[in-house]
Amino acid sequence: MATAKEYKEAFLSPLFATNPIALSVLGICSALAVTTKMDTALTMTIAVTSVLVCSNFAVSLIRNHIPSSIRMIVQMVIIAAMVMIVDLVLQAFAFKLSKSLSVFVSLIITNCIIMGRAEAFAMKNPPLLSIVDGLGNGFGYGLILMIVSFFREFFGSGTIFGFEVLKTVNNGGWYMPNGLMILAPSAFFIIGLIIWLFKTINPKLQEGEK
Amino acid sequence: MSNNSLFKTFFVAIAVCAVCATLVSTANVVLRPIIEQNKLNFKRGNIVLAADLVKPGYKASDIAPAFEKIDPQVYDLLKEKFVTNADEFNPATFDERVLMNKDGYTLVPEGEVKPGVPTVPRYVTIYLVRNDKGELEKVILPFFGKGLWSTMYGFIALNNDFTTVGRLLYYDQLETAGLGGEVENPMWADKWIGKKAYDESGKAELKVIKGTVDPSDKNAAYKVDGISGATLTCKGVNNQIGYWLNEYRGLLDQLKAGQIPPESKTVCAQATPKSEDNSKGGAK
Repeated sequence: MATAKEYKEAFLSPLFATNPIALSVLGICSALAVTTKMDTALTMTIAVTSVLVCSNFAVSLIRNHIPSSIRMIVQMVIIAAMVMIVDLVLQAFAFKLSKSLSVFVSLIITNCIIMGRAEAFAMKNPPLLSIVDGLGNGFGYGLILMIVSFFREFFGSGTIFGFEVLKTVNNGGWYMPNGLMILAPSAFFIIGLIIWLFKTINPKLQEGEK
Repeated sequence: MSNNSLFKTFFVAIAVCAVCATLVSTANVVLRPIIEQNKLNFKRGNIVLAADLVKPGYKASDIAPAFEKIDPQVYDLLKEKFVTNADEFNPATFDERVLMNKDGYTLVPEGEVKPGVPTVPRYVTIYLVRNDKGELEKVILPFFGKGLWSTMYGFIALNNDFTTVGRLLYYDQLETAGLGGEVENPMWADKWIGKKAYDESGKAELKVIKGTVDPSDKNAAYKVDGISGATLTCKGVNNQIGYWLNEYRGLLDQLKAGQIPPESKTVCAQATPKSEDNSKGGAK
């Protein structure tokens, strides 16, 4: 049985110390695509976290029976099934958000974090611990998404969670939105700054000189 | 048994697929009715919004009572006449996007203004709004075409002079959020209200310009402010509107001449149950 310390470690370390986006630089594609608005970023976080938890649990459950020759395919089938279910649930209960997320929900299948955690963690650890690891990584992913989307929505549209903070010129106000923030490259810059910040605060994360 | 034996490999592969397939199909069967209802509500919500029967920011519960006042009609763009035979099409359930896959479409002819898509449906559903006396008040026309990245779907509502825009809105598009995506911004959609679709000779003149419209311009009624950062999307908007306003001229001439079809609800009430089968067939 895993100890309490291991659970804590599995949950907390992906938030900062091994953050999937900032440190492993995984799941960048969706971090660029869905962070123009905070509500889509939050929905994406919830979707990714639920897929991650379910797939980690399922993979871990059958980890001792997965033949190594087809283990990637098996993980992929499980992940794909979870994503399709999440997509259907979103369309049924959060129709408007599912429209704004469009193809990016289906693209969770290719989110490297999920495959990465299934392969790196769930294949070697018991189900409960894998669930906690999934939660931790989901939140770690979400944390970065929320930070990025906050800056992008605030400067790009003058709103936070859709509420108007800076009245834009298009809506008869004074704020001229920063068009760059709407486009994907801005997410690169913000993520880059976040990585820099993470590594400055915690110098242990810096790669040693070769 | 070893995990890597041939039997176990096949067994695990088949078992995982079977379990996953069951989960996905169960979720699909259970949630599909809700999803279909959401889609229908979403489309109807935009129709009643275009008709000014609800205000922007309407609630889901406002849609059904407002939609009661809408009279959907199927129109044949090729023969330029209404399809009043409900045995053939039931306007309440007809979906022009489904028929696109069958033979009910026409190729877009080579012309000056093209909607950016190779084919358009031959049959479209248009929506009539009558006042309490039964006189025609508004006509809502669907239109679509290519923007910068995506096919954009919208409705244009014309008042009963058949040239003044009651409202124009987009309800489905995947343009860049915040730039081209601003076509869905209600503030921008409001700028279309009161503009003129056709000039005096009947030519489709309505278009989005770059920058803001000069109110002293004698053609200001045909011009709408552009969206900054969305030049290519606006170009698509102009092509779509130009193309569809041309396509609908025959229809509007008929309505102007007073050739208004009877309410589809009364026609459908008399229709044989066969119409149900047809509409189902169309959805397959």
